[in-house]
Amino acid sequence: MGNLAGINSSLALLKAEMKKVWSRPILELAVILIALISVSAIQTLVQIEDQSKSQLAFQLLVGNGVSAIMTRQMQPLIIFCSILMSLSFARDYEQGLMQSMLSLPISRTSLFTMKFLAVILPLTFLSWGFVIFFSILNYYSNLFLVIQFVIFALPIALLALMFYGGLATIVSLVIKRTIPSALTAMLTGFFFWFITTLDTQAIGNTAEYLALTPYKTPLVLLDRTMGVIFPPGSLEISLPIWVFVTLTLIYASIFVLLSFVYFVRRFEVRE
Amino acid sequence: MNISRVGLILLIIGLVLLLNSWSSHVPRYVSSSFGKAEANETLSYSILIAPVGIGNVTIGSRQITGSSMPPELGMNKPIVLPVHLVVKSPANQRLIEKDVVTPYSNQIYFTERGEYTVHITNKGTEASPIPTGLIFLETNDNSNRETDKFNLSIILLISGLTLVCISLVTKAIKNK
Repeated sequence: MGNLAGINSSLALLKAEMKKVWSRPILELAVILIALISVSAIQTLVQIEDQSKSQLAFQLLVGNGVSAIMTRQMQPLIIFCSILMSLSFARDYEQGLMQSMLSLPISRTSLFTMKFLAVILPLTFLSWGFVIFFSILNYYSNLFLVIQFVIFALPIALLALMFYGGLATIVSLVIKRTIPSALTAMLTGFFFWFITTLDTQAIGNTAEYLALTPYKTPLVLLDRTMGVIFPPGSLEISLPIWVFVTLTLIYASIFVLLSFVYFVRRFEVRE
Repeated sequence: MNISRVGLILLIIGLVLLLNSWSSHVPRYVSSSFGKAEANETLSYSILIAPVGIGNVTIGSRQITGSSMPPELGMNKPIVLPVHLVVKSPANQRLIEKDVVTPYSNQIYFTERGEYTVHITNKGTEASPIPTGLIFLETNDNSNRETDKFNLSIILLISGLTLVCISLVTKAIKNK
């Protein structure tokens, strides 16, 4: 009975938090930005192939298409993750809402989980929704294949967003001010993207290991699961897939766990 | 989520899709060649294509576009060869079936998204490559837009607009 009441209050909190965080015009802006970025990744389908290899060519096309949409989406997702996490944690602290919430008969664990999920889940479904929409729109002539491919994008989007979400949460909890924490989280997120743009001329042989960075690893994992072709001998193809799975899981959980422990054990509110 | 937000989101997606279908262009020329066909052997090509309207399927033309290759290398020299040509739509309808001599070009109206198949049988006496290409003459024209995306964008825009209007009218009636 007590458990049921606890679940109900947690769900009510999640609903209220989602309503607050995704209020007008946040959702509309997210839709505009993610839709524009996603649509720029798809190209008009015009290709001539050997008929005996056309199925394989189509698989490659769909895989590359899904991969391109996901890759393009990462930057607006970093921006929205940073802004929304700081709105959810730092702004509530600044406005004194956090103090009120912590005085409610809800555990800190539930509060943290619901606040975190209120940002991450809608963003994941928004990202995945656009991957599905534009992939199906471009390749619906082989719908079954497209559905097989886009299914992989859901866990990858969630895990990638958990990394940036965790990072933005810990930054918000430490800085406790909306604008500085949003900017810091955004810049840190973009730093992870920026290092992946460096090549061997800039950083020498270290560039070969950029596939193992938090920005690249989930995307490489997605590409590997869909059979996207990498240059022979590259780290992306020479390492077994479990390395990327493990790294993605580690990256996804590292900041989430840190921020969770900090929120539950160390986070204090001013009177 | 209320009806006006759903309408607004549909409107946004419709507008983004309309901009995309309006601004994306088909390439002017696409060509492929896979090995040589012996006498009486058939080469089969798949054209994976969106419903982009009228395009010209070219058989035996070795044109190379955007290349700095000098013409004296003979790469632009067409292949003269009698062939039997069959072109099928994604729904397996025969769009073309005739004996022709390459270089040959035929206009096809691409109305479906999917795989058009081109079967070319070498009716000559010697083995020969039979390159197949697609030429779009009016790439900046509306005739080569992806019609399915354009139609969907219009449907989304109309539904979004309808929902927004319904929500505004409902609000106005309530306020009255």
